[in-house]
Amino acid sequence: MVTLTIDGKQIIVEEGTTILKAAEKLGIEIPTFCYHDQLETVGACRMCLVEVEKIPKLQVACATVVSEGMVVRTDSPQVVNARKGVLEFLLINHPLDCPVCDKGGECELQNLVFKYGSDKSRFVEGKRRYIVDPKSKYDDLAIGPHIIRNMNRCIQCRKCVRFINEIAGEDDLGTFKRGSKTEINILPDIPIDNPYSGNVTEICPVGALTSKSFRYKIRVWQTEAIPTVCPQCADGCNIRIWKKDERIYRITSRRNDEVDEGFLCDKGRFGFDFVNHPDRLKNPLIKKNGKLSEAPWDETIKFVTSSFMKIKGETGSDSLAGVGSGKVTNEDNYLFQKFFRSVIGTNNIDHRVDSKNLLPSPDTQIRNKYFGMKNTINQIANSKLILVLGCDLEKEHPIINLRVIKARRKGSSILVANPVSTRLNRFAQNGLLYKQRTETDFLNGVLREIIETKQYDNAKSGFSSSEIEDLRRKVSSSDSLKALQTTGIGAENIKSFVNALVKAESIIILCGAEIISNPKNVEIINSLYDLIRLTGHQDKDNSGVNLLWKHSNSQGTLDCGILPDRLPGYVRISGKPGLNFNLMLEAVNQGKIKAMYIMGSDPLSEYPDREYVKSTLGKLEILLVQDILITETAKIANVILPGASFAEKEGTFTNVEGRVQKLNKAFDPLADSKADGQIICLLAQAMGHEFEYRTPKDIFKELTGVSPIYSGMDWETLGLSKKQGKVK
Amino acid sequence: MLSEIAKKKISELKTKFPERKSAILPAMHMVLEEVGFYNKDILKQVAGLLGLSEMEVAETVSFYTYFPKEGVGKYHIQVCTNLSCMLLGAEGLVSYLEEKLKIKVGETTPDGIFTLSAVECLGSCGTAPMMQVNQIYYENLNRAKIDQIIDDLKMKK
Repeated sequence: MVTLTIDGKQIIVEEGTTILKAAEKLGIEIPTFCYHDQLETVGACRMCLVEVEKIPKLQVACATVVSEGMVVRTDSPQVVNARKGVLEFLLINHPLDCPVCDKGGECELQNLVFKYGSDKSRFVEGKRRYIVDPKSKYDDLAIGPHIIRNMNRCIQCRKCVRFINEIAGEDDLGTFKRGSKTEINILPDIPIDNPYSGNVTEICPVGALTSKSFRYKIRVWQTEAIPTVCPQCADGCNIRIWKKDERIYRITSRRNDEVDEGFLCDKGRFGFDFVNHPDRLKNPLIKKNGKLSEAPWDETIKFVTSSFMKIKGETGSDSLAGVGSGKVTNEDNYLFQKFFRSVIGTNNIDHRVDSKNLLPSPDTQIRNKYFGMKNTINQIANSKLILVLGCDLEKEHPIINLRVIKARRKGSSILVANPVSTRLNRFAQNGLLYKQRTETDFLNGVLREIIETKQYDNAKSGFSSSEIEDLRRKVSSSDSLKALQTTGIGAENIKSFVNALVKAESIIILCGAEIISNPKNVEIINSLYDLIRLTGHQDKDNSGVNLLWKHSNSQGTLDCGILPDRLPGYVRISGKPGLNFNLMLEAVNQGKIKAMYIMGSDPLSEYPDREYVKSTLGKLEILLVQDILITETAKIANVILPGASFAEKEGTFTNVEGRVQKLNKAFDPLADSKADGQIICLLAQAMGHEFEYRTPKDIFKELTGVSPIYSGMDWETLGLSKKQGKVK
Repeated sequence: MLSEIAKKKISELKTKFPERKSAILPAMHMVLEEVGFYNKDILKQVAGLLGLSEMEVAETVSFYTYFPKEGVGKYHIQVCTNLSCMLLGAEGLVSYLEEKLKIKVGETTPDGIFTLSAVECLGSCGTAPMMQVNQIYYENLNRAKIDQIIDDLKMKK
C-alpha cells in the first residue's frame, strides 16, 4: 500500500495505482480525453497534467503511478494554466461548429473548455480542413453503415481506433499520416464492418464520429434518457433509451461492468426501428369472413373469452393451449401461465417453439444443468480456456463474444468447434469444423483421448475407477471409433484439442443454439460435464458448462413456469403435466386442442417445420395471437391483440446468466395497444377472475412469493443501481 | 508486381525483429527500390508476407512522406518546409515551383514527369533551403538553382 497526498488530502491506495485513479477515489476530478479505463493507457492528450512535488515538469495523471509520500496538486496555478494551454491547442483547428454538431450538449471538449478553457482565442490563422469532396463544404464521410466521420472536429485521442483494435479485436479503422494532418480512416473502399462499430460514436469525445441514424434529428437536451434493458438477445445489456414524446431517437449504453462493460452491439444500439414502425399493430383485429378487421377492445375481449368458455365447456380445459415467449417480461409470462392454470385450468403451456428437441425440466427447484449458465458473464474473461461449441458467438451473443476476445487478449486459449467457421475462429488457437450432428461422436473422441492417454485428473475428478471404466468402454467402443471418422476431424486435431484442454487451469464451455436444439442435446451436455469432471474442474469458479439462451428473457420464461410440467420456480406439477409445443401440434391435428393463445412467439418463423405448423395451426377454431407486429403466425390468426413494445412497459428480464434486470417505461403504448400483462388481466377479469394488479411491481411481488428462486428480490433495488437481482 | 527475390527478402524480415511491425519500414524500402512507389495491392502483398494486417502496413506507410504512392511523377520533388528552410525562404520556393510547373503542392504534371510535395525536416538544416528529388538532395536553393535543376531534369526526362 502507498500513502500519498492529493490537493492536501491523504489517501492510501494499492501499489501500481495511477494518480488519476487515486484522485477519483478522493472525488477529485482530473479532466481527460484519451483515457478510457477499458483501453491501454497512452497518455497522448496531455489534458490530465498534474503537479507532483519534486518533479520539475507536470506529469500525466493517467499514466503516472503513485509512490510513497507523493504530493500531488491538481489545482495549482501551473496545472490550471496547462489545462488552458492544452485546450487552446485543441481549439486551434477545431471548427467550433457546435450549433450544427450532434455532439453538442454532451461533448467532452465543449464541457472541458467550459470548465477549464480560456474565453479568448489568440489564433487568427485559418483552420485545418480535411476536404472529402471539394464541391461540398461539410467534409462528412460515411466510413461504415452506421458511422459518419467529420475529421475537422477530431482531437486525435485515438480512442475509436484503440477500441476497435483492443476490445473488438478488429482492424478496420486506423490512424493515417501524422502531426496536424493525422487522420482517422478506413482503408480505401473497405467500410468499417464489425458488429461493434456503433461504440465509437459513444467513445468519441467530440463530434468527429457520429451515428448516421441519430444525426441532425434532434438536440440531445431535448430528449429524455430512460434507463432500461436491451431486448435483442439474452445478454441483457443495460441501455438508455433517448426519447422525445413517443419516439426513440437513439439508444446508448448504460454501463454495467457485470454485464456489458459499457459496450453495445450495433443491433442493440441501432435496431430499435420496430418500436416506431409504421406497421405496428394499433388496434385489436378479428377475422370476419376471411378478412381481418379492426374491432374495439371490449368487443374483442368478449369474443375471445366467450369462445374460450364455449370450448372449455364443450370439450374441457385441455382443449386450450397457451404459448408464451422468451421475448416478453417475467411479469407478462407469469400472468400468462397463471391465466392458463387458474382461469382456463390447463397445463398446456410452453414457449419453446424453435426446437423439436426439448431439454428435461429440473427435478429440484433450482435450475439444472440443462437450464442455464453455470458461470457469470464476468467469469468468462477470467477463464484460462474457453471452448465455444455449436455457437456463432458473435451473432448469437455479441457481448459475451467481447468477453471471449478479452480473455484472448489476457492470454487465454480459445477453442472453437462448429459445423461452419465463425468469425470467432480468427482468435481461436484451435478451430475445429465437425460435420453437422456429429457433436457426440466428436466429444466421445475427445473423452476417449483423455482417458486412453491417462491425461485425466484422477483425484479431482471424483470418478471412481469403475465409473472411469464405464466411460472408457462407452467412448472406446468400435461403434464410437467408427463414428469418429464421420465427424471429419482427424486424430491429430483431437490430440492437439485435448492437449490444450488438459493443460488449462480453468475451462469455460459455451454452448449455443446449435447445441440447445440438437437432437442429442442431453447427451452432448452430459459429455461436456464428463469433460469438465475428467479435467478436474467441476468445482472451480472459472469453469463450467454454460447454455446460452436465445431471447432477452428466455431464462426468465423458464423460471416463470412457461412449461407444461413445472410451475414458476420449477415447482413440480402435482397431477399430469400438460403438453409441450410439439405435443400441442399433434393434439391440434387429432382435434383435441381447439384454441391456442400465442403471446409474443412466432412459431411459423421459428419452428423447424414451417409448413407443418402452418397447416396445423390453420385447423384451430380459435388462434389468438398477441404481438406488436403482424408476424407470419399473426397472418393466419382469427384474433390479433396489439401488445406493447419493450419501450412501452415496465417489467423485468432475466438475462442469460440469471440476472434479473428492470425495464422502465419510456412512453405509453402506441395508439390502442396495451402491455401484454394488462391484456391478460382484461381476459381473466372478463372470465370472472380477480387479476387485480395495479402495476408490474405487484405482479413481481407475487412472483417472488410463489417462485423459490426469485424469493427475496426487491423491485426497488432491481436494475437501476449497481446492485441487481441475481439468482443462483 | 514484386519480384520473387523481393518477396523472399521481405518474408525473411519477419523473424528479424522482436516486434513484427518493425519490419514494415525495411520492407517498404525494398518496395521503393524495386517498384518506386506503392499501391493498394503492394501494401496487401507486404502485409501478407509479414503476417500483419493491411491496416497496420497502410497506417505506417502513410506516416512517412518518403514513400510515394502510385501515380507519383517520374521526379518526386519534396521541398522541406520545416523551420530552418522556412526561415530562409522555402515558402517562396514552393510557390515558385508551383508557378513554374503549373501544379499545386500534392499534384503531378499532366505529362507525369513531376510531382511536387511540401515535407517536414529532411535533416539538412545547415544547407537550407533544400529539397529532395527522388533520392538526391539539392541544397542552398534559390530561384536560379531551381530553374537549372528543373531544366536538367526535363532534358533527362
